[in-house]
Amino acid sequence: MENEIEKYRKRIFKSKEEYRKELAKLPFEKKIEILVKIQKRAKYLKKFKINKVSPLPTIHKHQITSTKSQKNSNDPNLKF
Amino acid sequence: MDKAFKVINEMFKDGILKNYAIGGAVAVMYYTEPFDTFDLDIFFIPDEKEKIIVLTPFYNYLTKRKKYKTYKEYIMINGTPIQFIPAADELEKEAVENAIEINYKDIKLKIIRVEYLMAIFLKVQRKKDILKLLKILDEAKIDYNLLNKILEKYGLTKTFENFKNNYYGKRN
Repeated sequence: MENEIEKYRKRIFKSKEEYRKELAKLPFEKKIEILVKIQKRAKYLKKFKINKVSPLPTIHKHQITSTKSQKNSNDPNLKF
Repeated sequence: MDKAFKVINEMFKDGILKNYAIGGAVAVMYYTEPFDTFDLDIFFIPDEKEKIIVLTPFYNYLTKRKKYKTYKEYIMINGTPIQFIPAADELEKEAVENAIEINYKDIKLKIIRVEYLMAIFLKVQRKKDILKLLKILDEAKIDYNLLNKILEKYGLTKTFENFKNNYYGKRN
């Protein structure tokens, strides 16, 4: 299972890299258009304030392996 | 940003801004993927005859004639903060002199060549410069002959080797 996840992650990262290279080939006009969109989004997201940050749960490695008992567990920290 | 480019071009045409080139993140973006940046850096070669660097003509032109506002060290043109940065050393002067000319929606603009941007970032090496260098190495078309000449001329060859070993070695 871990091997499959790792393979999938590698594929995702590879496609991200390829997409970035494609974006680099865009005309400058298009890049500036995208920049303006990014700036607008950033401005919009900055409107939201984080009121309370809950502490991250401690999850041990053995808890990550998916088992039937964990899937049925009521502990919210163990659900992904 | 369009308005800012237009104004820069007008300043050049009117003779207010003579030897200039766009540097910083916007210049990097010409060669790489688009990424977030908020300002526009304009490098210029200050007049050799003047003993002090005079920014007054730029400010007068933009604030008095064009009625743009200032904010800290920036001049705001339609929401885009612009900074005028005098070329501090020979490397930056050479970068401005050898800038490429591009057409942006029928506006002519000068942009620092990617090889010179790399040399400038290598010299300064702030955290954000390191990130830009990595982006350039990943995505831009680099003329390595020119880059090596520049690095050699300004004693940056070893710095580049160290940079690659420290930040880029494991990626490729």
